[in-house]
Amino acid sequence: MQKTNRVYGILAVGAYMANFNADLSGYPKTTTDSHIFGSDKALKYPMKRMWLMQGDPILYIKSMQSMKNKEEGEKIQPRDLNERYTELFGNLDEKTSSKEVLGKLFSAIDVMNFGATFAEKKQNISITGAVQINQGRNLFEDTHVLTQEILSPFRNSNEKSEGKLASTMGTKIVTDEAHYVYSFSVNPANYNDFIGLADGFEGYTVEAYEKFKWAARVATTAFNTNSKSGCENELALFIEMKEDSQLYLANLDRYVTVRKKEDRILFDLSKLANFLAPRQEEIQFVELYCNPVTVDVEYGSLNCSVYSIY
Amino acid sequence: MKSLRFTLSGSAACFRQPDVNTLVYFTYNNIHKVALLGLLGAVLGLSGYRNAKLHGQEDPIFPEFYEVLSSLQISVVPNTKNGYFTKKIQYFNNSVGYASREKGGNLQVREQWLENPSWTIFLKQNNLDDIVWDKLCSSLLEGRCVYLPYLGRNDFPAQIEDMHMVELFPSRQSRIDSLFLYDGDLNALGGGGPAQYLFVETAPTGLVPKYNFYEFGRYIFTNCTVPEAVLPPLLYADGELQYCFY
Repeated sequence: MQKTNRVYGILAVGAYMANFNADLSGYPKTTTDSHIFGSDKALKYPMKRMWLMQGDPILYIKSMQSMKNKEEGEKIQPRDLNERYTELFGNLDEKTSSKEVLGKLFSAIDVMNFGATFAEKKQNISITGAVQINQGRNLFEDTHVLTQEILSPFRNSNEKSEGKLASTMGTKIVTDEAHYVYSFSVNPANYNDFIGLADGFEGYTVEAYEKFKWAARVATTAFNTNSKSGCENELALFIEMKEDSQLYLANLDRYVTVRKKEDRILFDLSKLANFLAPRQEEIQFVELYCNPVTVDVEYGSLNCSVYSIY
Repeated sequence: MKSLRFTLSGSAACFRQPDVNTLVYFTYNNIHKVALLGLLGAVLGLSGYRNAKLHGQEDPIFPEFYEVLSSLQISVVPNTKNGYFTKKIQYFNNSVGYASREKGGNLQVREQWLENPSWTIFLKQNNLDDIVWDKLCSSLLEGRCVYLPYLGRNDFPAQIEDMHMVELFPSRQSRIDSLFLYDGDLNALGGGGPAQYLFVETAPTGLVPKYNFYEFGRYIFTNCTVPEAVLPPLLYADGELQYCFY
């Protein structure tokens, strides 16, 4: 079923003794004034991983294959775009029609939601995704970055090193507590140009949106790598606009504040409620999902239905 | 002259410079004319740079947004001290394996971002079609758009606020309070005292037909006075400040 109305919203991720998104130095990403933020990619990756686990086709994710090479023997290496496309959708050569490729691309749930840039075998396709996620700012003021020494189980193999008889040390960098707040938008109109161009494609679908919505609620919690194991989805707000509404809402995270309330974490949405109030007639309904055990919400005048995030 | 005025801002922006394409991507300090027209095109639902063949069309001379909107004239005031926004190089990996031909397939992206940029923008209809101008004004004034406008990257949504129709009058003062294009001798600019500042950046002013290359001009933002003989055309004032349109 086609989805045609817009959605705006907020996704909040808590990081407890974890490093949700690091830069090249291993520290959390920051702006020049030391405010911690996470990229859209850091939030999308667990979603893609979750879809992959559920058996949905995902194009833009690393996948490995074993390759034989004369000099280096058999080694595993990542597939390139052509190889991944072929693995998912079958043969791609110079004669494959763009219609067919577009249709296949849209059948991948990550492309359907986040878009794609595809330049392979004379194809030159750029799709702006219906779902766009911003940078997520850490809105919690009392965040500390901790550096821990960790011992490696192996000795230093450098014979000239002073520590060659001992095993080596490493560091693990985490934030004690951070709350990343992302703003996102879903604009199905981004695909209007492709309807009729791609084989079997009828625009953004309710099914794809529901998959995004589910992943937006639980994917970070479900994802448990070493650095992200303390990260969890805390709050997800979906503002469903009316069918024909072209209202533009940018960076809703500006209207959210986060603070501690005893041992629980309080998301204050009252400013957001004030911002939305004069735009009420453009809004169909608002849904809020949060972790009822750890999260309190200050709703202000916000009119929404509330559910558990799980 | 009626002009549409609004504030354009965001938490970050990146208007990529096309002249460096390796190791680090740099951004222009200010939104330039082509990027602003593209943003307004998104508001109206005009198409941008795209693969025309894919859509069964001949390659156009210009992308649709530029074809339609290039007759619009604009004036831009950076809302920051001396016209300079703080910038930081951000780092991320693209490890899907398709982005780099190097062993391991990992592309390291280093990209310079503007932080908390904000500009006051003035639009002047000039030769723009009445229907398009009216639609542009009503869309902006009512906060509506077809595609969501962004500041150079689609994860940096553009905040468009304080929209007003304002009345401006032709003016010939020596002090210009907006960006302006100036090719002449920088030493001819004077005054300003000890707090004198002069911001200079060569940035796009338009597109080259058919190939979509940028045409460049030298943008200036200064508190110096500009000698009467070299004052740029299209100066307008609102009674307090003077803005240059281009």
